[in-house]
Amino acid sequence: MKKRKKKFDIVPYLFLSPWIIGFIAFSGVPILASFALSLTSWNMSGKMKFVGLSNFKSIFQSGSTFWGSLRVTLIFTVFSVLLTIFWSLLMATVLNSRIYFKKMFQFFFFLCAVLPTVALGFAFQLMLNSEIGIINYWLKAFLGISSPPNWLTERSWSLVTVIIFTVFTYGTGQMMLVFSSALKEVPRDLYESASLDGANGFQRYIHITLPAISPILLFNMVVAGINSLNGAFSSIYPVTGGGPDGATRVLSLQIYESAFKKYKMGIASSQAIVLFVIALIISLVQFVMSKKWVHYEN
Amino acid sequence: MRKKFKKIASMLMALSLVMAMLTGCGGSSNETGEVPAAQESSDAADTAESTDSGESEASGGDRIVVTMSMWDAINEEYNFVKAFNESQDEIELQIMAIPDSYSEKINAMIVSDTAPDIILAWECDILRFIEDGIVIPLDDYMQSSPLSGDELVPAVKSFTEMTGGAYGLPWCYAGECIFYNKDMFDAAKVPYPTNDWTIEDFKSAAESLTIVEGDEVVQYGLAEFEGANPWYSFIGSFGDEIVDSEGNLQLGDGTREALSFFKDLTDRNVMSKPTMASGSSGAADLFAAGKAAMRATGTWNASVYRDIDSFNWDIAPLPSAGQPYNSMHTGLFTITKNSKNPDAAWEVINYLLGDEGQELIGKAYSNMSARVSINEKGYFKTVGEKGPSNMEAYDAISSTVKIGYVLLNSGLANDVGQKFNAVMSGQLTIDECMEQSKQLSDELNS
Repeated sequence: MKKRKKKFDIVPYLFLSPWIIGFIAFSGVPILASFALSLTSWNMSGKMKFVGLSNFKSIFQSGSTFWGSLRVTLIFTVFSVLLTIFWSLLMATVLNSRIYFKKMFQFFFFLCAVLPTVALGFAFQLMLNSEIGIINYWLKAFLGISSPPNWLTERSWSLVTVIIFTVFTYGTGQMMLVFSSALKEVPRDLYESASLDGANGFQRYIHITLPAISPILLFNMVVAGINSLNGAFSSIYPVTGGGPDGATRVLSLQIYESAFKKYKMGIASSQAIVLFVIALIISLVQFVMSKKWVHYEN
Repeated sequence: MRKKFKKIASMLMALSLVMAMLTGCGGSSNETGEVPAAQESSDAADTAESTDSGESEASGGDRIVVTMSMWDAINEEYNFVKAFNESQDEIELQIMAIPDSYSEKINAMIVSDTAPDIILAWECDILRFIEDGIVIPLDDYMQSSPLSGDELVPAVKSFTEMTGGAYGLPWCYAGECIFYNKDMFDAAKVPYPTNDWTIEDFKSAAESLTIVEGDEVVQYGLAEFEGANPWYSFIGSFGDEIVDSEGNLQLGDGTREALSFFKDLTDRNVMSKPTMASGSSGAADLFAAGKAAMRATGTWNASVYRDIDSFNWDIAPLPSAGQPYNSMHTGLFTITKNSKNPDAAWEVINYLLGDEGQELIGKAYSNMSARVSINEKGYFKTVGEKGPSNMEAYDAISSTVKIGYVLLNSGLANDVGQKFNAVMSGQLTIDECMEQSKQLSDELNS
């Protein structure tokens, strides 16, 4: 029998073209430009000069502020991912259990997530102010703590504070919704069988729920990791601006400062490439590790 | 036939999607009729509406269109754009309003060759613009205007000498001062500050105004410094130059003395410890909240505090720690190298720095004029129900202003300001702060 020749069909590509054109114009070209810029010295208004790899040498040299930002970025990423995953899963689990006022709780949990992060940041800044903020007022009034922490300007507290702040941002609310729908898809008969075998609620959660939603858990972890690396700027900038003294200056914030405060586009681009590589490595590690704990139906 | 129709329909749909996407990316004029920042200046004459409340013609018609960028909104009561456009019939001034991320967007426009004819440039950008040939010298134009000689405040003359020519002229300017709560001074029986008070008078007043009950500070004598601004004025007053002749950071013994002075006040709870991470815009103000008797900040805050109705307040010049010093905050009229109409752009600047333009700008923004004769008229002096009343303070401020730290790269100035605050919080020693600040400066210049 003669094999039928596959005919090239342009239609699917035409349907895809708006996205492809958008991606090439607004993501692909800037990404390539960023790679090229990382090899130059340029202040946006003067002439561009090719400098080879010296920008990378400069950011990796001993004593560079880049190392501090890298450390802050890694700590922030690890803890904010763990915290937001834990919190969103906990909330989704609570909302999938039999409780009264479920819709009201869902509304309140998700309310913070739909507020603009900048507005939320200013509200937090005011609430956490050590002199006139309501948090310290409560700590003094109800717990009798005479010298509550200076949340935003003490090195030891500021990073912890911005990590906790991420719980109230859009990403966490979105993950909660994704977890919530994944939990609804777990087959009920598995729970019934486990109950007949004598498994308690905790055992059912560990051995049935978590494996069943593990692909979604992986998805949320990858998204949270990338969000945390790239999107930390919008949550940290309005709350601490990277301070005190760089204690919360994550890489995305440093890239912004290098580019638009110090006008060192070459340095900013090389920092962006390092961030890109870190995001890539973290995502790859998550995927590789996932083979051990993610369970697919097939 | 059916297949062909399906294909054509698909192509049309895809095309419409692409068009919709591209249309969505296009700019449009905003409600006030201001020209979108990203709009090409060459296109502005054809497509943009002017800012004069939309009452003039939408396009320039036969007029030469001059575009100017600025971050502040146009005050409708004192609309200098409308006044200029009505003053003659050859040039039309159109504003590119950039209320947010001004410096970043101006730089992006320079890169894409879409910068306006007149950039109201920030001080932290001007040296770079001069060095890279983005703006042209205005000296020749100035010779035929009333802006020569001693008409401009001394700070402008020093700046012109530093840059080797007049590349930018201040549209108006602000300084820094002490805002004080008169009710708290009265309650503590502390005399009000004079216009020539010293750093010791200031310290003594702050100590007397501090109230501690048990281990809680009920009232601070002085509020923390929001941002880096007041730091540099005090450091200048303690004797440091701050910026050398090439625009580089220069900190020395004056910085050490200033840090030591305020560290002592902070340790004794006379001055509040930093509660906001420097670099973030402050949402909390202890002075406005009635928790601090004094606050050192920019004179522009007079227009914010004008609405206070819970206590009486006033202003005083910054106390002198030996060398009278005040940081000038301004924006500079510059003409871009690529302007197609530099002569018309100068006509606009000449008007805005003229008597009528300066009166409108002074009244609209409550800022001082760089022209001595205009400043004496006091158009900028606005009074609220509770303050201020000490208008002589402005004269003291204008006699001591210098274009200093504002010339520094804004990222560096802010980072070093964070180091100063870290000393106040006890996270850095003064030596560490000095060393790390120098390192930051070296890193920037490398």
